[in-house]
Amino acid sequence: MQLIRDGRFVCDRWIRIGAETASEGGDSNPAAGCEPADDGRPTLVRGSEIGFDLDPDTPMDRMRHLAKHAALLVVRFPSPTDGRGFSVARTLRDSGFGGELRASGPLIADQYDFLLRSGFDSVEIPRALAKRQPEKFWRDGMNGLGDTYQPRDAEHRAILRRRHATTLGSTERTHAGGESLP
Amino acid sequence: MYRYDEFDEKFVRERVAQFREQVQRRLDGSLTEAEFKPLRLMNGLYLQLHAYMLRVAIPYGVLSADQMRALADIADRYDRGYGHFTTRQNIQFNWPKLVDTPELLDALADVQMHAIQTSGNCIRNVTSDPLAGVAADEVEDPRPTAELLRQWSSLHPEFSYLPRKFKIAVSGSPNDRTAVFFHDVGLRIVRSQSGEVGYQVIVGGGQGRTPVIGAVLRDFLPKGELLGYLEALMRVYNLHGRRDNKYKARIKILVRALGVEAFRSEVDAAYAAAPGPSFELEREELARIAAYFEAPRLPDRENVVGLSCVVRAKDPRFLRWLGRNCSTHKVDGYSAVTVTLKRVGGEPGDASSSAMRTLAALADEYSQSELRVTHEQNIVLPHVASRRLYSLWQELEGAGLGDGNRGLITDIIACPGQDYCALATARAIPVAQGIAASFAAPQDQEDIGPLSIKISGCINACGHHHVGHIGILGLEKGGQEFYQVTLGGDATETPAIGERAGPGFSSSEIVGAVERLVARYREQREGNETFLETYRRVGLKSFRESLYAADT
Ligand code: SF4
Repeated sequence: MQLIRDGRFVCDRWIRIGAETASEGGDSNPAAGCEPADDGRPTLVRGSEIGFDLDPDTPMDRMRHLAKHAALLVVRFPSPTDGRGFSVARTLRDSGFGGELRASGPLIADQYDFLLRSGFDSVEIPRALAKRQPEKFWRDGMNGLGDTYQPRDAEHRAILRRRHATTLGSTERTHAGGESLP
Repeated sequence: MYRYDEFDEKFVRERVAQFREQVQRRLDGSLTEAEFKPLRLMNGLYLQLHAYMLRVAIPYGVLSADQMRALADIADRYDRGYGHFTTRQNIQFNWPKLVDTPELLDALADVQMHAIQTSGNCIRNVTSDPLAGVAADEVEDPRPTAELLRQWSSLHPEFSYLPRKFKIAVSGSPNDRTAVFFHDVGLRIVRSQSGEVGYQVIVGGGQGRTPVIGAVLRDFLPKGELLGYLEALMRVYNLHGRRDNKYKARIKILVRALGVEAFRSEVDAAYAAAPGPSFELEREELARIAAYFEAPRLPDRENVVGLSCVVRAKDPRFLRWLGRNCSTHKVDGYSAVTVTLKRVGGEPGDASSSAMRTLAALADEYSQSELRVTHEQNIVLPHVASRRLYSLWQELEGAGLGDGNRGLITDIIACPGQDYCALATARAIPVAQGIAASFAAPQDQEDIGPLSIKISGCINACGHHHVGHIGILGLEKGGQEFYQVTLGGDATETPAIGERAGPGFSSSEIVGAVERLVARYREQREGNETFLETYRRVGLKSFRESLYAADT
């Protein structure tokens, strides 16, 4: 897999341990490392930090539980059109997950902006796809949509906030001049 | 009407630039067709039976005269001189070449239009009441809400790769002209007992293979909570809607599988868990948008003379048109005029570029340069001084657009069917033409009164046959087209799904079948009863007997 962060192809410092862990348990399926563990054991490590692979149909409560212990959560996209991962990311961020959120699957650079705005930090894609979709595509895709109506994590591109800047400014002044903020 | 500010303008221009570049990458092979497909669909570009088709959004059905002229130019340059108005306030152009589409999108952007999210598995063009801001029965103008939804849903980070398409309609009146009960989400602007204005939220309605009447999810949702609540609803759908079978992927299937109660608790839980919507400043933005929709200042005075000048005209064709195609306006002395695009012998919803230019010119002259597109595939001139109705009608008549048949048996809705659509199992347009020809006599149409016939060329039901008083579904068996009839459908605030009448009819029998249904209605009706009222009173059986009388 090729890891992409901030519009660049980068090396992954995380190590997948799923395969080894699984073989200790007598299962030597080499692909097991890419499957989400359902036994609660982490599937990725980096130093003393742990991470988990999440399937989009993992129950939300369980995802939130894993999120408490993880520094990395990898959300699997079975196909580029299966958009459950976008809502998974939003829900995890809303419930306070502050670690690295990674999208993993056959995603394309045109989806990068959607991924970032949903709360992902990084994306990993199959090597073959990375050949057709080189780094430049991802760099362009990073802010590929320009300004958007839904701001959240991209302040300077937020149409609504800029459109209402004058109104907002005056509200802020009112607050600053008053005795207390609500 | 709404005008783009610098932000909206830039947003749409950026979409065109982006699509131009995506087309380039498709042509040079760095995007596969499978990867390109969702991208082109999100820009309204379909691959049809013979060629591409581009579907252009007419948000909540409002068009300026300049926009209409631009559409006419596009029809000439990229289609074969026609535009096809659809049942969802869009216009479709057939035959554009892939390489030409970015240029076409540029031409649209020049007049503040776009094709964003007119197809694909995302939140589609939001539809509304063609009489918005005009109708006297309105609680509140639904267009500001519809525009708010347009912005909120545009390239939404979370909801652009849904299990299936998602259609939202907004109605501002108790009398529903937008089919809110047949959308994935229908919003009705209502007033609470304490007088506060908010939304009734209806979910899970739809047509297609599995017609369902939407269920009320929230009786009253205060303004300012709309987007947050919708995001919770969409999140539940995005996570749990089926993705294994595209025929079971719409929200109606999820709502049905969970039950409305369980679905409601899921949405409430998601709503409670979210810190707020991804779209800020909902109230401020709604107020900003609403300012664009203040009723146009209609020059007063003389118009109180209104209809009296008009009624002196004795032409019976005009009087028929006056009775059928003109609706009352909020402002005294004005009328909203419907122009039916249903010429006998024409194709429902089709407008030639010259008809479009005529309508644009008439809008300039008579209707404050504004037009509306209806889901009945007709055009409305919303602000016409009543005293000028006769002269408007004469001009329409001169252009072949003066038929007074709105809501009558010849005002038929039909999808493109096998003549254009890759998915069709039968032709739809020739059936519409056959029926229209059989009931061409205006006195006949008047005598029959309100009767909606809707025809689909396959089970996908784009012609809305499930909600036609008489619905006709074109199917195919052993290489032969045949037509199934449903009766008693209703798309309004008294929603109903038509009941199957029995075995289908061949293409040569179907017009005769409709004639027998109409004859039965005329025998059975009491007083001023409409077809639908008679049907509801006497029931399917009597009509079924008339349909199959010849066989027994
Ligand atoms: S109902 Fe069928 S034939 Fe008609 S437009 Fe829709 S998909 Fe095509």
